[in-house]
Amino acid sequence: MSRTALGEFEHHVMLALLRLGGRSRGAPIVLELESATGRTVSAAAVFVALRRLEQRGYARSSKREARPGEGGRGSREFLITSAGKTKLAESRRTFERLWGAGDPVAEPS
Amino acid sequence: MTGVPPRFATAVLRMLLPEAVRDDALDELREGYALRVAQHGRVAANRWYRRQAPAFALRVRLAIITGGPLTPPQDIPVREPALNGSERMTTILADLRYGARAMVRNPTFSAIAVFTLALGIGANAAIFSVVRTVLLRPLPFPEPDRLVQVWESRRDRGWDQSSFTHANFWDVQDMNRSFSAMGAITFGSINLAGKDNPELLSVAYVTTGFLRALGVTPVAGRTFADGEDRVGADQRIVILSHRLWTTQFGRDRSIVGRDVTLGGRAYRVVGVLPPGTPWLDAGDLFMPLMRGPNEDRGSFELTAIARLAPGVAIAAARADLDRVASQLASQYPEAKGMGVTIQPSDGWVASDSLRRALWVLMSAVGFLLLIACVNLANMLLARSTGRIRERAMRAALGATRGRVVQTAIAESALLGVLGGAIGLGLAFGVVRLLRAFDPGDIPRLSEVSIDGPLLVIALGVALLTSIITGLAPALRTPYHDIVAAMREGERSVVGNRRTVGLRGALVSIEVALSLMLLVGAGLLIRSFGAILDVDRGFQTENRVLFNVTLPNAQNEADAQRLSALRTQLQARMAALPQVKDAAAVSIGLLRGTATGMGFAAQDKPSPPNDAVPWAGWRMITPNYFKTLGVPIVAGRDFNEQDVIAKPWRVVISHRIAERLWPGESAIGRQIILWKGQQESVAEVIGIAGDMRDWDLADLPSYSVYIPFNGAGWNPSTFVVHTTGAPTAIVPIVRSMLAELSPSSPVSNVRTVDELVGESVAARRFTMLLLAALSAVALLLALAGVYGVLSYSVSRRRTEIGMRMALGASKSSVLRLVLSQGMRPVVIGLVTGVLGAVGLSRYMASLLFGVTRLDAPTYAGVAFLLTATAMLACYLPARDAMRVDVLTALREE
Repeated sequence: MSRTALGEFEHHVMLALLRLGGRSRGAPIVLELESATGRTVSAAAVFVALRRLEQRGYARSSKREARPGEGGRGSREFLITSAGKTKLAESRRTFERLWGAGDPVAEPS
Repeated sequence: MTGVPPRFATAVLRMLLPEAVRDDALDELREGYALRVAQHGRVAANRWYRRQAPAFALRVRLAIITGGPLTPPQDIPVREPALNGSERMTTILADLRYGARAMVRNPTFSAIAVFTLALGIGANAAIFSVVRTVLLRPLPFPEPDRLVQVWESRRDRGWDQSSFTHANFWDVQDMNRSFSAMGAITFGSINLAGKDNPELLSVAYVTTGFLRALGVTPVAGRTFADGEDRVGADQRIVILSHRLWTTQFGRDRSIVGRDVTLGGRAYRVVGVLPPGTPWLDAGDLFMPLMRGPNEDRGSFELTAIARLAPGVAIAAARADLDRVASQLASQYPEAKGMGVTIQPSDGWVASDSLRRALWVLMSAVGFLLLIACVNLANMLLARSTGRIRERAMRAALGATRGRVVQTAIAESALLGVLGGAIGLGLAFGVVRLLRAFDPGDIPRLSEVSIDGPLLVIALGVALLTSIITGLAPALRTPYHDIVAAMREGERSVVGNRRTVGLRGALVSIEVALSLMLLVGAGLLIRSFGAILDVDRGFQTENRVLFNVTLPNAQNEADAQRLSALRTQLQARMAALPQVKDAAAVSIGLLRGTATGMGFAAQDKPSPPNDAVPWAGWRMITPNYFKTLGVPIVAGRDFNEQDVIAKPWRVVISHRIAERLWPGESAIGRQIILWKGQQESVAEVIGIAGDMRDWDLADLPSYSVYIPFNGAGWNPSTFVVHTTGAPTAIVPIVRSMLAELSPSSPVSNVRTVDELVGESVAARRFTMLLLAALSAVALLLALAGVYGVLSYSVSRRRTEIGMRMALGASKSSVLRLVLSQGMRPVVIGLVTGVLGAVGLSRYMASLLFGVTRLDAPTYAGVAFLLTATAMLACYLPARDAMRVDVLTALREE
């Protein structure tokens, strides 16, 4: 699993995690992605992506104690790592370089 | 507050999710559900949850399959705390104790299992130790893969591998660019003057390059130096073999530099060779082979070897030798058609037929081990079925599958170690036995031993086989069906029918394997019988052979004296009252290497050179045929007036007469001897009956007999036909010799019966071993047949009781049980016959007088197996017939 480039969906998950303050559980990320894209997002896909990101060192996770009143166990909380932040910045720069100064694709208005 | 997600979907999801991420996934989905309830209400949340849940499990599983586990490395969930080293050790010890207790609890079972394994391991260790020493151990020389044997060839005469002529050998040695050293060897004998009786020693005459090519380092002194084989060099030097140094000189190092008296002259000892085979034991003594000024190119006498120079491949050496040979062939008319071939040194220790025999034996013991394993697996399987309840209990009390398997492995490993140890004990015994029964022509047999590496290998194999055979039953523990297993015990646990089927298949394998072994043994036994029954052509009763070495002839006058002495000895022996006939011959029956000559009829067109038939020849005194009980078919025997080459007169064997003059009288015809070599023309004066006098397994030889009278050949082999015990004549001959020629020893005393026995000793050895192995295999297979059937009968007691209660007759029950027991046997028989037909081709070259598909052998073996298997089935069947209806029903 030495693949370094982020897949598009993984990229989205990372950005959503960043928007949630760099620290979140899986369920809020699903909602965040849904509101950003306007489409239904598979909870399973997010579940898998978060764990793959963790295995590659871009995120860390910890099992949070259940808060009073929540019942059962708490779910796993993910934290973006500095490696993850570097990776995001790097891919952003790559995108910007590729886009260049001009705007070759007319955005639908 | 937030409510519970739909229960059914959760339950399904819980079932479908992989265990490692199950809790995480359920937590995350529940939280998602709670968030949706808060945002969109319960109905929408429920719909979302039901839609997500089934896909979730599939998606996660797919991700795991394509990309590996999803768990972060730091917190792999564990069901029980991992054991550290010492804790694991403790459990292993506990399992071993448990295994030992289980073995003691069931001593019969354990003894049979251990012994079965011991038989397989023991036979393998013993035979492998022989194979390793004889076939696999490298030659006792440095870099043996660079050693080659070198032959002359005469393709035009159909000789692919011939000994070297002297002149050609020296020329090839001088002209080749491929060898770092080359040497030749030839053989003779010499008398060692001893305290009581003179002793005849064998001499290997070697060129100075011979020991250098081998790379021999002497134990003491030196080997021959360059130039010591040149004319004018000191000829009276000798190197002792290790054997002679040990037996005659008590390993006295100071013998080097001293003189020993050989053949009446003093020879200086210059060195002592290390022990070993081949070549190092080629003679008691090694003397330099002299390079004469006028060497001939007509008589092929030298065995040549060489060491390839560093970096020279065999192919390159062959090309180089082709160059040398064609140069010689164009230069000398006698070398016309000459070629030189080389062969790797693989065959130096063991002949092809011995290799073949040993590999057949090795495969046989391999089969035996397989049978032993199958038997063991069968027994363990039977027992494990009986112990399902016990294993289920352990599982119920929280033992993991790993622990249950570990216990089973500990038990079978215990069996393996015990079986291996006892097997090695057996192997020690077998090896001692083999060495005691040394048939004489298995080289290095005296060096065979069970040593450290072999011990380790054997124990390793024992352990491995026992663990593998033990693993199968252990893995059949119904771990997921504990409750059923506990409740129903050994009665009707799922898979029991399969177990019985598996055991039947194992029996089939055993039967097939042992049938193949039995066929192999049967073929060898029939061959052995055929070879003893073969028409040898000569009589064996009350006949003895021994060698007498008279003083060597140095010139023509000596030769006449020697010949006269031989005639005188023969006459004196023949005159003894207990002697019927006596004669002398140049080379005894069934002994020594064959002499050869091409022959052709003078009055017929000569065949091309490569179609010239080849005959062995012997020099004989008058009465040789009468002494051996061989008829003179036509013409006459030699008399005192027939002298070698004055003029050439010969007696030929019947087959030669039939070949050269079919349907005509051969008497008085002219035959060309040594056709293609020196070519002497001789008159045929007699035709003698055919004999198998070189090897009983060969066709009766083409034989040419030449008068011994006038020949300076030494030693002579005397053949004596006596009225009483033949060896009683030997002391009388010794006292006769003390009078006539005091320095002449008598050696190699053998009755003709003994010679026949010795000539088939290697066959007997292979045959007996294979017979013993297949007997053991048969026994194991029968034990398997019996074991499976009696187990199955004991489990069907109730059924049988019911049948009988409902009116089944005893004979119908017997039929039922027999047919069940014999089914795997019949399958095994058929498979085994097919296997034997296929495998027998590998032993075709070991057979004599029977084909590899000999129908009586196959039929006999199949009958033997069927009959004994019936017997093995009968015992449990009898138990079945004795089933008491009431008891059987009450057991239910």
